[in-house]
Amino acid sequence: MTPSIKINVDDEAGNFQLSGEITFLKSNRRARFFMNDYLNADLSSNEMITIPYIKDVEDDKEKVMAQIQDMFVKFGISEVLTESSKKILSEFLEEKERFEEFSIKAKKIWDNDLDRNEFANFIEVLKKELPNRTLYDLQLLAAYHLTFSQNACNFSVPGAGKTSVVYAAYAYLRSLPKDHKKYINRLFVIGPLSSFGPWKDEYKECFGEEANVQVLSGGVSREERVRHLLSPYSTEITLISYQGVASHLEDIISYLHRHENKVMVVLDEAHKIKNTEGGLWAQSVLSIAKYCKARIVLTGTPMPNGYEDIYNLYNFIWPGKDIINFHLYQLKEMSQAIFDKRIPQLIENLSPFFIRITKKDLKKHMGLPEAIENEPFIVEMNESQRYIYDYIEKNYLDYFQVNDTYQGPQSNLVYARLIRLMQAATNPALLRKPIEEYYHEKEISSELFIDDSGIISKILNYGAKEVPSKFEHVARLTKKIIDEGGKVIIWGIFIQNIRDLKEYLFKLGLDARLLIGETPVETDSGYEEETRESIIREFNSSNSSFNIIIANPFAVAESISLHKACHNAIYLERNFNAASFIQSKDRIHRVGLKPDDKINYYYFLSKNSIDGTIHSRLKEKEQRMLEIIESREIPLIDMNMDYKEDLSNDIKALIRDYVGRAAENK
Amino acid sequence: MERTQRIKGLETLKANQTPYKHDDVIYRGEKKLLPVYEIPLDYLIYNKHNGRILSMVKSFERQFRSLNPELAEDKKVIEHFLWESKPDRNKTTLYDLKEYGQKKIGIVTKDGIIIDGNRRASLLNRIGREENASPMYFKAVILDDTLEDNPKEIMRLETTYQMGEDEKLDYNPIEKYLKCKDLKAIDFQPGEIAKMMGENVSRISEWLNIMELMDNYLDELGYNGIYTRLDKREGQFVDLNKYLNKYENGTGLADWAYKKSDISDLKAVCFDYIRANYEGKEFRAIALPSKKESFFCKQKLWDKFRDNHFNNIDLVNNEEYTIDELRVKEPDGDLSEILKVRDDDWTNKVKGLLKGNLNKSQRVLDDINEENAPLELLKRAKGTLELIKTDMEAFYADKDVLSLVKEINSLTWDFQQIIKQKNKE
Repeated sequence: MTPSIKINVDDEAGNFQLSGEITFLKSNRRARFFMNDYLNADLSSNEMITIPYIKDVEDDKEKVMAQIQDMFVKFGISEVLTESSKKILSEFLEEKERFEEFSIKAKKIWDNDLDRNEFANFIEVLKKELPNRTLYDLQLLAAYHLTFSQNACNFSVPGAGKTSVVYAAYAYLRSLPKDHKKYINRLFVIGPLSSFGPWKDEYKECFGEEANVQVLSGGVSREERVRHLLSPYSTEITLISYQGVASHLEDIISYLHRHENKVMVVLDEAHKIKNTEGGLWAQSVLSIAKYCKARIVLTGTPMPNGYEDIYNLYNFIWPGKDIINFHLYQLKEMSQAIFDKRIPQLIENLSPFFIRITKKDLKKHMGLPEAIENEPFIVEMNESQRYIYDYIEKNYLDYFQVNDTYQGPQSNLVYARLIRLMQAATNPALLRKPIEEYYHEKEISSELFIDDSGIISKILNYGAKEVPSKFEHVARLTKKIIDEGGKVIIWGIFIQNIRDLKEYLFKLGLDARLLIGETPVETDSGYEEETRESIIREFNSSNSSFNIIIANPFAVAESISLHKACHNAIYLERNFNAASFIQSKDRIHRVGLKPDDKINYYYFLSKNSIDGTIHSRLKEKEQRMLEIIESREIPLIDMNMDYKEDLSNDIKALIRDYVGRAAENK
Repeated sequence: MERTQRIKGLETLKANQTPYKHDDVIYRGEKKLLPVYEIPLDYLIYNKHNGRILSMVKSFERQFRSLNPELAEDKKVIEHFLWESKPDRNKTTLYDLKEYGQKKIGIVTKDGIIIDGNRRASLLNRIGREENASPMYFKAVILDDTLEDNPKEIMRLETTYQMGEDEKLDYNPIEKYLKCKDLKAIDFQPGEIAKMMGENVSRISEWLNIMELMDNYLDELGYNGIYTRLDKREGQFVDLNKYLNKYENGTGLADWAYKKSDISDLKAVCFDYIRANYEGKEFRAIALPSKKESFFCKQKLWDKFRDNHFNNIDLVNNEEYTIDELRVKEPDGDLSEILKVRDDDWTNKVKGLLKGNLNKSQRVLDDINEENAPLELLKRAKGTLELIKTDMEAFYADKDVLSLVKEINSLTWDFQQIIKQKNKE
């Protein structure tokens, strides 16, 4: 006979009262230790054990309850909740029930054990509710998983159509009878500003009508934001930045809590809340989780640096349910050791709650054509650029060889020199500018690290009379593509180069638009004449007034799609950051392309320069990263691929190439 | 002598005696040059809160009665404790006092309570008795306060003198924890305690935690206040406190997501091993936060070890005589002794079980570690190789270096062949 203990919540006194067969608990010393150490239980009475909770601390009651329940399970006790306690804990109990139900369901979908009839019905409903969009099978499955687990992650690679999948799930849930417990009527998307345009555009493509949207970031006034959140007549879709959530936390909670709002909350590019050390964005987003009716996490890179990055994502989809079942520091340890024996267990714990479509899947099942990697164009520098480049390269490389620890404050000095070298390789005119423009880190020095006045005057005179060779070559190829009826996106790293190139192309009669950090984002109140969204929309339309976009991967590598209109990407210059390089490539290589579309990548490298090293390092890193990303499991982008972390390997490669070249010249 | 008489006696003495000398005393935050008097020992009483004998006093008082140092009978008890606290050291000091007289001065309160110098005073009393010399004199500074007037200041003074840098070394380990607890009980902050005891704050906080853990251990056995039962177990509590903290703060290296109730289990198991006087490597094997060296860090191993433990030991525990039952059997016995016998009997019963479970788990742990050994060894080897500086003559000019390099090369070649071969099979 399992002993049974009655639990009563006394909201007034702020405690749980356990009665019934409590001698069983009290005589079990393990239980006694636990109750003394962690529950502050009062065990002095023979009739009742009281366990306090802190009334003023949100969730403390639920947390203590969960611990009591765990203890009962551990020591084989059956619990009886009093009626009044059931009322007090109703939300907690409901959530628990939902979790158990959905976990089973999610696991079944993952294991490919679907209810065929239900799935067929799901597809039927979508035909009606999502009239303009036909999803691929894999996307349907992903949507089905989201719909029925209701709280889940989609870790598909960029370009797999995560937005459509969310809309499909949303459309299904919206079509349910209003009194259905899964019924949803609002979509609340939290994402970077650059994601807002795609959410609006995709809505139209899915539903065939303009979205009823309120943007709560950018130029929208505070009053308007508050009005939207507190009005019963709010729009169907809300778009807000992570920053915005932090500054409107209370109003957002009221919004989610409103009786008439059944809200599905989506975190787009959700890795932005990975900070587990109390970051404001992460904290704010996690604090709204329990008020959401459905929760969806979207990111192609759920773990940019380590397993710990997944911690917040799972705490968001199921707050307090401890799906991960490992401590944060254990996740950190696992990130350090590839063969850690706990990893398979971790993946198994996580699996039922995420779906992942890989690039391989896109190619195999969704008609994505293989992209064409053109051999890089090697560009000769002109004479004065060569002189300047060689001079500073020699200087810096001597420095790198002497200063071979790339950590701490030292790394910033090394890093600054690397940037200078990249600038010199494309356009020495940039050397005149302070480095901050590129890299907004306070610690980094703005110096050039050269004190030879002869070379400095050469640098000062450059640019006034010269056009960098790369510009000429890039312009030639651009013109050719456009003459053949194509469109081009040109990627650059340095803002000044991007601006100069635009000007240079303009002189040649080639009109380009810029997508860089300063390009404004569209807001609802008052259109700026040209926003990222308007530029992308026009570029994607068949009768656009321009055919060239010049972009910086830091500003727009996420969220935007250009693949329908543009099949060519030219790289004017790159740095060692493989993650943003891969993301920039994905802008034109996405699901929705026709199998016979030709996607071309072109690279321009200055001869005998850091460009060559960057090119080969990126190839290596891309290869490694793709291998991981393409695995069916959640990809762990290993530490060393992180930009700054890998500084020392990049520098080593640079030195090796430099020495190799020097030897050849002799 | 009663309190009023002592106060009067000391006052008269101060009025009439020329000070023996002057000496510096730090009191109420200031260094003061105060007169030192030669005081007849009859005017003085021992301080039962003396940090040297706290555990014995507390254990005694818990069992029998509150000690009153004014009574001859209790004075004897305290003298006994003072002697027992460190017999060897006392023998040396005794010899020294006989040869050279009192070199280090003491401190007493206005009402004659010895704040600093209880041990010396008791030895002087002893000499007096042995040599039938009376009265014996004790050289000390007389403070202007009584203990009641200013308990905090006097406690501070006492601690500073008793437990300052050098002094505490010859204390029994357990005493410092009790002292911390007492000081905390009269509202001293850890920072203040640290200053008095010449330690840093984190050390004091650690001691307070260890004390709590020890109290917890005694309470669980029903031995609360009988601090003598902690004898020879201090080290294990220090370790256990460290382990538990690590697991609670999540810095341990366990391979599983243990819950708080698992930490409670761990504590319960460790208490049993402490009770049976396990220490050193064997004790550490249970809980040390290390990937390689402890059971708790390996979930499967721990589950088995834990279940075995509780299944076996709880049976023994249930059959054990309770303390009340033992008291009935021996109404006049010394409780401390009764409990010692109780612990010894229990240990005899569980010895085989504890040892068996420990050894079995240790073997499993060794096996697990061996599985991981190649990778670990190779990593270490690689690390060592990378340390070698190759641009030195000692490297490139030494023929032995080259032949060793070749040997290593052929060894790793063989490794590769084995790996290839095995993976083909």
